[in-house]
Amino acid sequence: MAISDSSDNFRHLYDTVLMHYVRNSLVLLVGVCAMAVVWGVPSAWLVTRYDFPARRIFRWALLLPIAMPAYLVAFVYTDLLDYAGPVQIALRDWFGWQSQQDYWFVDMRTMGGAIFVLSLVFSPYVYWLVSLNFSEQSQSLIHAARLLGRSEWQIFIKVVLPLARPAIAVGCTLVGMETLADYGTVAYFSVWHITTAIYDTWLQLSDLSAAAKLSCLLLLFIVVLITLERRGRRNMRLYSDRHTPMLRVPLSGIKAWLATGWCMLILGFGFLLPAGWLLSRAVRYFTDTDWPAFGRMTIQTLTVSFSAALMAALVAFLLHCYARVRSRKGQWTLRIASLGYAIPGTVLAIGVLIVTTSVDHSLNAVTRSIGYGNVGLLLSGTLFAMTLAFVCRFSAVAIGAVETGMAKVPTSFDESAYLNGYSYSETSRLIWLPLLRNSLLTAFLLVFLESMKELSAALLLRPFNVQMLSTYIYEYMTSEMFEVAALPALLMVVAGLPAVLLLTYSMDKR
Amino acid sequence: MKMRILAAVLAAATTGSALADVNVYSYRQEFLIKPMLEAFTKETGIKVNTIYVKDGLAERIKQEGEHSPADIVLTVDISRLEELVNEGLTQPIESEVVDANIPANMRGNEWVALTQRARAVYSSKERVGKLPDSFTYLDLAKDEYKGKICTRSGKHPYNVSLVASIIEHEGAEAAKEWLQGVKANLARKPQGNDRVQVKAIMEGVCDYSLGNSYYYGKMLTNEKEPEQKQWAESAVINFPDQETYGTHMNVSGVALAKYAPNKEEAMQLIDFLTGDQAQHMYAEDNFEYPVNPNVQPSELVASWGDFKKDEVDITKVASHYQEALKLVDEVQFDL
Repeated sequence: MAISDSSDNFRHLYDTVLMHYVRNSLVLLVGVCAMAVVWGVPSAWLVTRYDFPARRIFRWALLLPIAMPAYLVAFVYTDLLDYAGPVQIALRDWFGWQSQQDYWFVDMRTMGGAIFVLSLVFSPYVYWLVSLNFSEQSQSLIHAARLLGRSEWQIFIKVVLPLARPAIAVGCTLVGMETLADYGTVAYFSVWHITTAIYDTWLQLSDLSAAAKLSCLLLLFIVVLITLERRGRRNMRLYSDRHTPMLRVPLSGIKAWLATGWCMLILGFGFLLPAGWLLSRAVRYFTDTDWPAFGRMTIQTLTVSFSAALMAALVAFLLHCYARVRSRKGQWTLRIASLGYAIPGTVLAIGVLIVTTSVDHSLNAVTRSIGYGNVGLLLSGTLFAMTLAFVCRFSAVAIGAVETGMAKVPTSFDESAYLNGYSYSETSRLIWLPLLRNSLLTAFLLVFLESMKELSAALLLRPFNVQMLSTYIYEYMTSEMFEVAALPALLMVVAGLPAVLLLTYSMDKR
Repeated sequence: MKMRILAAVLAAATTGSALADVNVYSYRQEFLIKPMLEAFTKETGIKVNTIYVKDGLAERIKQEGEHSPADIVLTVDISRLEELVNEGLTQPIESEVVDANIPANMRGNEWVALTQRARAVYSSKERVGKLPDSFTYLDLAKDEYKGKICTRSGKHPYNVSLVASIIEHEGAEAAKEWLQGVKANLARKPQGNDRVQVKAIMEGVCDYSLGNSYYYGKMLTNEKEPEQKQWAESAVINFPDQETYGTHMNVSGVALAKYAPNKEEAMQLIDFLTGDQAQHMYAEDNFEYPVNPNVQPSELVASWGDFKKDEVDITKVASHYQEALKLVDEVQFDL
């Protein structure tokens, strides 16, 4: 599609706004990744290495922002920090300012605002992967550094951090892909980037080939990102086999409170504040609630997310089994399957639409030829299409989650299995599957959470009379009628909480 | 387990389409049209199935081809209707009821307009007051308005339609100059929706904003979020171009899908939507201007006064849509 006739529209974009969009994409990408590291890495180090008040709670609570959709957090902060919002009203009351001209205040609808919000809600990826890595690092290295007279700070910078680099890189890749594919949040903040251009050319100018070209450009971004990350740690095999359990250093006095304060800051900005705001709104409009409709929406959302998560975990498992058996081809398959994450939801949705409708057309041709008549759009006209889109989009997350688990299964296990006459399928079923149980659970939970929040593909692929929590919230949110959406928004976050808790549990079990 | 879910989903979907319902694909938001669809079901007993979509409907219908379950498509503007017609996704609407209900300039062979909204200019009650009749859209580009204008994204269909109408009246060059002028006068980067601009007037961010007329009614009567009443009360609604072409009107409309499986029921729904009851609901609930001349605007809308509407052929405006969209990029309006 992308290399078909060169259209005027692409030329037009190139001449007018494309470079601006590309620049915005880069700034956003670097900004969000950097900030996600700033939020995620120190907090991961604090909760694994030290003991301080409420550490046990932060250990899992720092994952909570992942239950919040970015567009929702964006909306909350805009509402809070607006000129007419509570913060500015309070400031005006205190200082006696009269109008906007009297003082300067942060504007959320800027690049900075977008980076702040996106990095907050995506930072759990970095936190989660890095804290796993920290807890697996060998204590003996830290002891050795200690004996050689290094300070805590030097240990963190010179020993721990370099060892955590692969985890940081994988976390940043996930954050980067989420960022580039985001549409709802950046559109809300009027920060236009390359995804915007894809939307415009495809859905406003109806120019598929120009949109496909832009999508290729976006994919190029991603491939460069992934390749750089992989090259950077090509020769790293840094794990120490001798694993001494982590001994936590107790913090006291000001240090302990600083540690608690830092974790509290992230939790507060990323979860408590938006959740509290949602709760207050939900309480305020509680009596207007249309319970049966919300019940239906919740069930539909959970059904789709559950099926998508199950399928994605299965796909990740099968692909990893394949990669284990056919190393080179398998690795490529894994990388390609992961690219879906970077494709904006709408583009992916249209891709899924094209595939499912053509299968539907063939199916109908078959049923007609055997005299059964038309069966209609069995795949594209049902929840199947939406589920498939979610699977394509979030397989990367599942693959990433299973990857670390698979790496820990020694190849000697496979060899002894083959020597004992096990077939590939027996090996995968009887050896890999039980060993990967926790990784698969993690994969399932992550995809489940992501599917509940996913918006663009759901907006496009909904079958008749189906409303998802995400689409409902977004529609009313963008129409400045949040009063209607507060309760479903809260429902969505609450529905994600058990998954977040289970996620910490699976983290502990590794 | 997965197969069972899948099977249940498929069963639900196929049994759903076996009944003679009307299947509606809608660009218009649920809260704006659900009451009319419910009234239709109540009157005729015909169930209405809906899909609400923001983008990409035409693409979806195209891909679904002859198996598309879509009977009718509701859109927020004429450009979307034209897109459907141009892509060959619609069929002629032949109905005496529609012909009797809707004036000839508000319908094409394969589409019918259902409501009209004025692209109004809101001004600050306190700092500006009501604008004179001589005020035009073109005035917004004048130097005296520097730093005083707020608007949503230039690429939103409502704004693109306005630019397209300026292209139709004044030519592309003038439209580009106008966009450049308005951009230079903006108080802040284009953002938010039409309501948010009125809010910005209250906040003192700007003195003028572009916005559709029905939002004024929606805000003034918002009992759930009374703050919005204050936003609206801080602004005056103005209808520009009274001494020239008349105020630009954008329309919402309906098209009959090419492969509509339930054509008869679909036609009943189209007839219903153009009829007195539905048009009255559009007027009273949504504060839109009814297209059916028998139906009066709501009392609140009528209180904003009579004004001259731009009577230009709306299909001509729609034909400039892509050109207008590109102009918005060319002047980097949103950046």
